[in-house]
Amino acid sequence: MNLALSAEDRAFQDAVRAFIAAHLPKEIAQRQLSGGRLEPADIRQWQAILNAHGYGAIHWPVAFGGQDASPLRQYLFELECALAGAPPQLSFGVRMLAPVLMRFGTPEQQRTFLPSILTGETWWCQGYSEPGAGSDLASLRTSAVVDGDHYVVNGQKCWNTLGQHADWIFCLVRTDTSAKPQRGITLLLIDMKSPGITVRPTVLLDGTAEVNDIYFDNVRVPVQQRVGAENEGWTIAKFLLGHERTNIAGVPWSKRDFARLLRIAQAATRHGRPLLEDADFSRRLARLEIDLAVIEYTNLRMLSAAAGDLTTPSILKIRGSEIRQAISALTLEALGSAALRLHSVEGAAPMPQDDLTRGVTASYLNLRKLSIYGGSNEIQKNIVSQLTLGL
Amino acid sequence: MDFQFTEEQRLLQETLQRCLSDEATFDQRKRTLRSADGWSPALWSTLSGLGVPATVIDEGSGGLGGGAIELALVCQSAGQALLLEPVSSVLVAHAAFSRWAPAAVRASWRAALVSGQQRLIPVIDPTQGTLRATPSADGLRISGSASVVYHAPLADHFLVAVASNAEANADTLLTVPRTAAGLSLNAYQTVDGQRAADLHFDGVAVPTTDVWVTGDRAAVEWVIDCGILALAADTLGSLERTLQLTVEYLKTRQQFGGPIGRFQALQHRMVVAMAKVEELRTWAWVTAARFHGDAADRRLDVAALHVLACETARHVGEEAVQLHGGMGVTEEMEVSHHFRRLVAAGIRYGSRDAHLAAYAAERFGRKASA
Repeated sequence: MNLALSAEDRAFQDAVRAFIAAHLPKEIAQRQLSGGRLEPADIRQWQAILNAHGYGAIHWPVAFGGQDASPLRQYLFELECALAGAPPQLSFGVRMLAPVLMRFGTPEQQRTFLPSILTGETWWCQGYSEPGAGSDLASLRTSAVVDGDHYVVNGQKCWNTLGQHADWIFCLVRTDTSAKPQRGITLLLIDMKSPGITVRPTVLLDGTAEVNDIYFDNVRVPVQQRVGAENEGWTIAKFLLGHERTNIAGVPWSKRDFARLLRIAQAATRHGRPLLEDADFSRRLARLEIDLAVIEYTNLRMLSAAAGDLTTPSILKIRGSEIRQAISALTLEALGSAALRLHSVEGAAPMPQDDLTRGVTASYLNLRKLSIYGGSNEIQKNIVSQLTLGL
Repeated sequence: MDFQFTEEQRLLQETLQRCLSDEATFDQRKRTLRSADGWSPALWSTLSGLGVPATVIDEGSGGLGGGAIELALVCQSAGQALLLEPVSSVLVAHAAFSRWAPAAVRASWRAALVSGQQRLIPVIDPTQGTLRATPSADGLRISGSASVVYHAPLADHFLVAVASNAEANADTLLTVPRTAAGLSLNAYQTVDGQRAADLHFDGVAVPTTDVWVTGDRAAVEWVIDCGILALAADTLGSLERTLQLTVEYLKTRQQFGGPIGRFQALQHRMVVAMAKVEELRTWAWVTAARFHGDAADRRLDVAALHVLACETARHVGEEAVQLHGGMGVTEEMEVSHHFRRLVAAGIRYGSRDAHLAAYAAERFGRKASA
C-alpha cells in the first residue's frame, strides 16, 4: 500500500497543471470560480483548446485521438481542470456516446461522428427520459417505425440537458411494442435540425432552463444512423450509463466548491471574528472536509486496479452527491441573508453581489438534481441491495 | 498509487483468520465469558505460537518488523472474532516498544515480548485520568489514577504515559510491573465482555532504567495514535462481521410469507450501513498507510478516523440490532455481542465530538487561519 503518486503520474499532473495555467482563458476561469453561469461558448472554446493540445479526450484509445489514460490520470486531469476553474467537458459526446460508438458503431459511424466530438464542433445531447419513463426507463414509448430506408420517430423526451444548444441527439426509441419492455428498444442518432423536432425549455427552480422537452413529430432518421442492431438499445444504454464511472462521485467539483466555501467562511464574520473560527461552524466544516477526504480516497481506491473489496460504484454516486449537496447547503448558510437574493429585476439597478456571493443560491437549488439524475439515490440503493447484498 | 496489501500482509491476514475461525468460535467465546478469568490463556498461547505478539516488533529485536498496516490487520481480525484476549492492547505496547524503548530495554525484554510470555499493557488513553511523575533519588515516583484500563487484569507489566510536570499533558513513557509496590487494581468486566481495571498509583517508584522517554509529548501522541488506529481497526472488523450477520438474518428470517430482506425499507437501511462501513474501511487503510509519514498529518488522519469510527460503530451497531428485531437484544445472538463491542468503541479514547473539535481547531482555528 503506497498512497503517493508514482513519478510518472506526478509528471502527468504537473504537465496538465502547466498546460491549464498557460491556456485556460482567464475570463472563463474567473467566471467559473466566482459563481458565474456556465456559458455554452466557454464549453465549446475549452474543448477546442483541449483538443489542440492533445487533451480532447484523454481516456479514449490512442487510435481515436486519445491518450488511453488510466482512470487515475483521468481523475487527476479532471481535478486539475476543476480546481483551476475550467468548465466541465460536455460528457454526452466525450464520455457517453463516444465509448458506445467505439464499441457498437460501424467504422463509418466512427469516422463520421468521433472527430467532431473531439474538436467540440458537434454538441451532443441525450434523449432518454420521457414523461412516463424516468427511473423506470424501460417503459419508454417514443416510437420508431421503419419506412423504407428510414425510421419515422414520434414521441416526447424530457429532462434533456442543454439540448437547446445541441447539434445532434442520441435517442432511445421503441422499435418493438410486443416484446418485453427491455427487448424492444433501439438507439438512434438524430440531427437536431431534422424537420419535425421541437425543443421547449423547462424553467427550473433556479430560474434557468438547463433542461428541455423535445417533441418528435414524424421525424425521418436514416437507418444507417442506428447504433448496433435493432432492439439492442437497452444493452447499449446500460453500457453507456455504466461507462461513466471514473468521476461518478464528482470529487473534483466538490473540492472546488469546498475551496470556495472556505474563502466565504474566511470573509464572513460572526461576533466580529471570521466565521471560519466560529466553534460550531468550524466543526461542521471539519466534518464535511472529512467526508470529502474519505470519498476522494474511496474513489481512488475504486480507480486503482486493486479495488477488490470495494463493492459498487453506486455507493460512490450516493455519497458523492450527498457530500456535494451538503457543501452547497453549508455555503448557503455561510452567506446568511445575502443568500436570499436570486435575480436582479429588469429596469432596476443590478442586485448587490460579488465574487463570493454570486451564484451560491442558484447552485444550491440546481444541485438538488445530483441525487435525482443518473439513477436516483434510491434506485442506487436498490441496485446495491440486489447486486451486492443479494437481498 | 497502490491500495494493495503485500503478499506478506495477505498471508498474515489469512493465517490469522484461519486460526481464529477454528479456535475463536462464538461458542468458545461464550464459554470463555463464563470462565473465572474471562479470557483464554490457551488461545493466547496459540496466537503467540502464530507470531501475533511479534507482528509489530522490529526485526532487530527478533520480531516481524510490521508497521501500522500490520497492526491494523491483526486488530481487524481480532474485532471480527470478538477476541477477549489482549491482542490489540499488547500490539499497541509492542509498536511503542519498537519505536521508543531504549536499546538496553529492548535487549532485556525482547524475548519475553516476542514469545508472548510477558504481557505489556498500555495505560495511555488520556481520557482515563492523569498520572504524574515526580523525580526521586533513583528515578521517578508515579501518582494518580487511570480508569477503565482494558486488559489490565491480564498484565505482567504496564506501559504508562505520565506527565512530568503539573501543567503538561503526558510526555513521558515508562513501564511499571503489575506487582509494583503502591499500585492497586480494581478489576471488572466491561460492557463488551472484556476484562479491565481502574488503576491507582500511590507513589510507585520507577527506576531510571524503566523510563523509555521523558519530556517528549510527540512520542506519547504517537503511542496514543497507535491506540486509536488499533481500536478503529478492531471496530472495522467487528462492523464487517456485523454486516455479514445482519444480511444473513434478512435473508433467512421469514415473515409475511417470505424473507424480510425483500422489504425496501430494510434494504435501504442495510445499504446505508454498508456504505458507512465502506467509508470507514477506506479511511482506516489511508490512516495506516500514511501513519509513518508527517506527524501533523498523522494527527489529523487519526482524529478523522476516530470521528468516523465512533459514528459508524454507533450507527451500524444500532441498525444491526434493529434489523434483527427482538432477536437482536438477546444474549444468544452474536450480533448483540458485536453491538456491545461497538458501543465500547464509540467511548474509548475520547468522544467523537472532542476529536472533531481538535480537528477543526487544527485546520480552521485562529492559529491555522492567521
